[in-house]
Amino acid sequence: MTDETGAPRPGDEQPRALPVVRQRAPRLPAAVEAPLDIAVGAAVVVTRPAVAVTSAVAQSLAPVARSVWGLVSRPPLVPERFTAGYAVDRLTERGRAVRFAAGEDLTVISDDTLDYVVPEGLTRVLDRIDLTQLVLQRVDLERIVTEVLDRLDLTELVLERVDLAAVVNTAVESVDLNTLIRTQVDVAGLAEEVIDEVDLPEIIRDSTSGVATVVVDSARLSAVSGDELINRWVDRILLRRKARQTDAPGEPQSMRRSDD
Amino acid sequence: MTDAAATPDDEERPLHRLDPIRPEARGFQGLRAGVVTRTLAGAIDYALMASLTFGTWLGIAILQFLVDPRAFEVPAWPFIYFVVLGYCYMVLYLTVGWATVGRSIGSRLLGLRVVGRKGAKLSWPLAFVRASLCTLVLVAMFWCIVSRENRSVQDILLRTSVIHDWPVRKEFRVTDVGSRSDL
Repeated sequence: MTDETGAPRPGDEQPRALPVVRQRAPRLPAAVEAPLDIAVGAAVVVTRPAVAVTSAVAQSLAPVARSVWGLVSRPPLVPERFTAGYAVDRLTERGRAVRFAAGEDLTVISDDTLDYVVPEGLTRVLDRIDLTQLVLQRVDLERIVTEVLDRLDLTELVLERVDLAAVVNTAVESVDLNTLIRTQVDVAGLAEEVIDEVDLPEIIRDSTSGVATVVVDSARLSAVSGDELINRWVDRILLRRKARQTDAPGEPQSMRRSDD
Repeated sequence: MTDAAATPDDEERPLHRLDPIRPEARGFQGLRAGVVTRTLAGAIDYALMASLTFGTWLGIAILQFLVDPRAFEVPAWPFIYFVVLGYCYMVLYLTVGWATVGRSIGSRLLGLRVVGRKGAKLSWPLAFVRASLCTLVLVAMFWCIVSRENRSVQDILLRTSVIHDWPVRKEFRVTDVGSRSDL
């Protein structure tokens, strides 16, 4: 259901979560564990009703207790500094001051302590979990990658950091380009397209015809121009309006296609 | 292309005709030629036959000299001899040219071809008659100046045509690029 990396494949309805915490501490022996569990269970069974009854009684007696405590802590006609309430307030203030001071000490201490505790604790935590598996299960990697790619100009980055010439050279050296082209490219079709696009006859004619051919062609064209000139003048003299009908039957060899 | 690569696929592959005719000349191929082109072609043919006639006279003279140098005299042919011999040469030459390839040398140089009423080559008798008429009544050719169809008197009588048909070289076969890469 998962690929080699353990990540769930798209399309799986309920990807099965793999355990990511590695159990390092050995479990207790069965001989100790069973009685311990029994004792804990019994304690819970006995304690819960007792606590419930106690809290109910306390809640019902609370108003009375508060009134009694108010009367006892500050009895009438007794100077304030000799009352129990006064003593309790002083004790409270003292205790609070000590607690705050201890808290500040703890903060000071904790910075030093954390420097030691956090790395150590983190190392131990990381030793006990399969972080890769955890990330694969819990993190939307596609979203992160998309987000990163959106922020980066990858083309610019590649152009700056990658030695493209070396990459291309290595790729070209490792690939048999001839075989690749012969197997992957329709060379014959490509050639046909190129031949269709290019006026190949004209190119071949230009490259193969000698000076004599050029002279002969020019003479022929000049003669044809002379024909047209004389025809035009004669037709004009004879007051002809329609053009001459010079179409001859059959097809000239020069224009006959090879597949005819 | 190697010989091994040339068979047997080439038999099935269509033959590409590389048309060596200039693009500006393609428009009038197959149309009847005018007087200038025909006159130039005829002039070349006449010059050739005149040279052949004179060459014949010269050859005979040289032969006489070689045979008997002492009694050698320049052969004094009457002009009519030259005319008759030239006429015969011309008729023979034009007959053979028109009946075989449809062209004389002058026609080939000017890109002309003589065809029959259906556009085919002339038969031997027709070629002979046309050659005789053309050589005998040279002036009749100039009727093509006024003819609406660029036809001479001989063309009208024999229903022939002189068309622009530039000679082309042999057909080329486009080399298969795939096979060429084997070279």
